[in-house]
Amino acid sequence: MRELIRVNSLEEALGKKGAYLAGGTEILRLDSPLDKAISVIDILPFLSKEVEDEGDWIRIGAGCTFSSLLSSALIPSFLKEALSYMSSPELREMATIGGNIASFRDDSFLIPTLASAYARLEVLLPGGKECIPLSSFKRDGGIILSITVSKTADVKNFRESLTSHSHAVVTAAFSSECECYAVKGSGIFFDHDSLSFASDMYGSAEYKRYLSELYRSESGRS
Amino acid sequence: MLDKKITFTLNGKKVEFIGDPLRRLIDTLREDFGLTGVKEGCGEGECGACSVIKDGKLVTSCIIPMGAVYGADIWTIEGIRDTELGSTIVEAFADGGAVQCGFCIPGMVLASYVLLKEKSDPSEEEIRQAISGNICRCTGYDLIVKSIRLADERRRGV
Repeated sequence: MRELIRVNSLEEALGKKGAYLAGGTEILRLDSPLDKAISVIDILPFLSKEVEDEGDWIRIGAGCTFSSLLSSALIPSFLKEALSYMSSPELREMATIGGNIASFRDDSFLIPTLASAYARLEVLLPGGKECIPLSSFKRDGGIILSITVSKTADVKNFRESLTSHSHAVVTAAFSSECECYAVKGSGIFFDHDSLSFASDMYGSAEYKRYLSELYRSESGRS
Repeated sequence: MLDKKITFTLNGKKVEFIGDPLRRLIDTLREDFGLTGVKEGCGEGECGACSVIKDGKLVTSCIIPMGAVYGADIWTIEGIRDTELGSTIVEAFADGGAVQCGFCIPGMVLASYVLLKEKSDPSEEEIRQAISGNICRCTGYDLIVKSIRLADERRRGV
């Protein structure tokens, strides 16, 4: 039988082997890499659910749900647009921003937008806390504690999916200095040069390349 | 600490679950507690047929692991339908012709319940937003929206 591990602190959770449970929407999702995890470690009680105003930046606790962020006056409109990509209100009540980043899905709702808003993550690692750019984060790279995002970034979001409830083929976001793409079947890319495309049931490689180039062009980049 | 016993409140009663903490809440509700008003549609949290109310929020039970239910307050259609507001909604759905095949209706009623608990006299947009996570393949939604408005009018005595 699989096990639920309850811990007394995030530091204790770091020392355990298993999948982290936050909002819980990824742990049983079809095709989720977490689906076969033998042990699940409940970390939600220890994650911050606060949003703090830090001038031109906001610090978002990793335990904030999509719905709580959508109702917060501190969240900039470009991030609310990305949060609303998760179209089901039921899912938005459960899913956390930290969990969405940590799952590092190739149809990520938030990573392109956050990366284009110069997001930095405060991550708990065995050696202590570190602050890293979102582009440096890797799945299984510690426990995300908070996300700091520019409020003033001029972010343009793009997303293509068959329906509002479907997995996205391409999600992309652009600001004056950053661009980020989540390409279904290929991965997440933090620059244009590293983009790669693979054909799958969501679309051909050519289709995904076309969408990525179209979005880049519409964002004002050549 | 390893924990295999999960206690929670189900339709107002304290209950206990012992088993796989990654078992889906929908399976526990339907198979262990016989609450078959909880329906399985897509199985990935998108269609809303399996909606339940967890700690006052509408959530999809097909992707919730039992581990996330520890200490929670869960309500299903079986617990809601006999409450004052629940029965008002159920009657309005019947009178308003909101039900065709009926598969989505438990989730729709729960979504309506959460909306009307929080808001009086909601606009049509607010009603449509509230049920936007609940997919219906029969009705085209219009009669459901009208029935939710009817339930709201009845409970306000309009």
